[in-house]
Order: sequence, then C-alpha cells, then structure tokens
Amino acid sequence: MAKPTRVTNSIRALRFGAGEMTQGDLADRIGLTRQTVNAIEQGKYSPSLEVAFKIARVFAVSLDEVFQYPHGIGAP
Amino acid sequence: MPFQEKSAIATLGALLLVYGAYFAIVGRWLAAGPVGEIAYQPLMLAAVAVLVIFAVVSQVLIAIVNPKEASAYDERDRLIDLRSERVGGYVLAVGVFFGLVLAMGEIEHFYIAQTLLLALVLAQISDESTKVFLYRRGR
Repeated sequence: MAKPTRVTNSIRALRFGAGEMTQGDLADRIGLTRQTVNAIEQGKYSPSLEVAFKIARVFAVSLDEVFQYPHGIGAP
Repeated sequence: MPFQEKSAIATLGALLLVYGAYFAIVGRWLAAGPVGEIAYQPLMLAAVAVLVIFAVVSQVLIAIVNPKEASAYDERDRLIDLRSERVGGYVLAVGVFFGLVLAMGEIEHFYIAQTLLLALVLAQISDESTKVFLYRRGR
C-alpha cells in the first residue's frame, strides 16, 4: 500500500507570494508536468533532490523553506 | 488528469472489452465441442490486432484533445511506470510458470496458448491498473 509522504511543503504559499504563479508556470520552469507539481503540493509525491533544489531556486529560498520534515524522525 | 493516466484507463477498458469477448467466445467453443477441433488462432490474432488498433487510435485521440500533455513525461511518470511494470512482470512470471507446467504435462496446445495469452492479458491489466492507482493515490 502506498503511504503518503511525511514531507510537507510550502510551495502553494511560495507560489502565491511570487505573483500568484500557477502550478503550470512552476512546472514549465522546472521541467515537470503540472500534475506532478500538484502531486508534490498535496504531499502525494516526494520529488527527487534535484527537483527539490530547482523548486527552491525558482523562489530564491533555501531548501528547508520549501520542504519540511517532522523533527525527531531519523535523529540519533 | 495526466496523459499517462488517461491512456492507462483507455487501455484498461480496451483490454477488458477485447479479451473479455475473446475468452467468452473461446469458452463457448470449448463447451460446444472437442478441444482438438477449435481453430482459436485466427480469433486470437484478430483480438491482438483489434487491441493494437484501439491502443493507437485512443492514444492519438487523447493526444489531440490534450496536445500539450501528450509529450509531457517527468520523473514521477517514470517512477510510476517502473512500479507498475514490476507488478505486471510478477503476474506475467506466474502465468508463464503455469504455461510451463501445462507444457511439461503435455496438455493440449490449446490450453497452453490460452494460459499464455491470459498471462499476458492479466499482466497488462495489473500494469495499467497499478498505474491508475498510483496516479490517484500518490506513490
């Protein structure tokens, strides 16, 4: 059974902060389909690290301003 | 809905329709007379041909309706393809195993051919339905 990812993200807020950029605009800029951007936003898909960096670069923010992971998971 | 998901739904519908009809007809023939006299080959080839034609036509139609999406393919599509093909691969392996068992038991060719075709069909149905599931549910 597929599990939803525990990674959360702020892409929707970042898009609206960037002049109401559409999912399609973001998808075109990073070479994804609009559906994949939508799946990432909804937490249905964790993108590759490379795509994660591309998204952060579009909004000129750091990676952890785009993606968040719950504290405590994987900590020693 | 991504192009690949639409295409998977169309293929799934065609598979169920075409091979459902094929196995219903062959089943009727089987009930009506001896296995050795059933000329299933032309029907099997026709079913495969109809499916190929349907697949090509449906892809073209979906692409005409959504021209921009038709060429769009990214890392999520690739991952979903790999996962669904793996599920299809397992189903195919099990089906081929049954075909081999029938061949080793020197069962009529008719049954071996039907088993292998069924394996191919079930493998593709599993592949396409896994694809639809993964697009909808998330991976």
